Amino acid sequence: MVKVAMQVNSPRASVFAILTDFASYPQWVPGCEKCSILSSAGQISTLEIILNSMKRVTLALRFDAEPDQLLKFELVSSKDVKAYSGSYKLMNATDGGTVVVTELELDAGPMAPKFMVDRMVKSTLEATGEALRKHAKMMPTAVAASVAQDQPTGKKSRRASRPKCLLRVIKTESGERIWYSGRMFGPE
Amino acid sequence: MKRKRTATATVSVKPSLVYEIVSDYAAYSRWLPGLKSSRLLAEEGNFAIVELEFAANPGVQLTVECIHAPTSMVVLRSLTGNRPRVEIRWAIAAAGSGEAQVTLKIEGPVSHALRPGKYRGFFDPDRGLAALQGVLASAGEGPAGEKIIEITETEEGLFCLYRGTRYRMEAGS
Repeated sequence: MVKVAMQVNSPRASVFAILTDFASYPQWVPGCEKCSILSSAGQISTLEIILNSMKRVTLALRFDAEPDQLLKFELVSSKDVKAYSGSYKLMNATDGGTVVVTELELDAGPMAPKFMVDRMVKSTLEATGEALRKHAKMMPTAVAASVAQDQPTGKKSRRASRPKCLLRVIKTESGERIWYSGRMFGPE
Repeated sequence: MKRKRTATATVSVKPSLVYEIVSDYAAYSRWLPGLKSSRLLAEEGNFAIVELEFAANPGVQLTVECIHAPTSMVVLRSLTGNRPRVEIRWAIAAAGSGEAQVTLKIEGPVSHALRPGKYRGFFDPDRGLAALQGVLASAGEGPAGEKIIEITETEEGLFCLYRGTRYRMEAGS
């Protein structure tokens, strides 16, 4: 399993729309030669995809979508790989846009060592992320603007910084004491 | 090869304050040794994605996923398949009244953990806990008693509380 997180400067709904527009995959997914929708019912679609990167592979994949949240995919059949499954998880980026966390597990068979496959998968996921960023930029602004209002306002941190006490002089029963950087000075 | 190290300390603050500090990922680079920057990319529920930049390797970001269980546990680990493989685990437990026991476990590749310089600082849980204690010291409630003077630093600047009145402090030159 390889995981990659990427930030896309588009609203979550736009990113989800791109990821579920399966017919358009050949236009932007690196190495995607063909994508045919075999069946589609509700949030579940079965596709035949031909990918050509290190090797040309044909995959029948089932996609299961949770709108604007998650897109899972799993292998239905393939002569070329033993396992191919993963997901796209969408999160609102703290400074605007969307963070896409992509997971992919690929088992190319006994002839391909796992560490080599994982390395290839990582670079493929990074390339796909970059392609997604570029493709999202080209989306009509009207579509992006219509969903932009759903985005939360960005924030750098989960909480505002708390005031930091640097120095305190207090009056106690035994006299005045000085507290500095967590240490107390003065009469006990 | 991985290297695991663990350190434990008891601090004189409530577990909730410790949790608040160690789950504020965006603020990590302000106090955790060996970090140049820390950026919270996204957060939902008990899950967050954070980018860390090590002082020993500026310009290169390591993306980590974070899971937090309020007031008891915070775990940060490299996304699967990313290098270096790092896991930071904070465990927080109540220890007597107003005290907390904090355990920091750091796992990382031997090549990084033993390398002299800023990586070593990051992979040393004793230094991590000492840094946390420094943050807690300034974030804590402080001693009880009638406040005569208090100087605090906030995002808006320095303030001085003198006998019940708050003054903004400005540089004299």
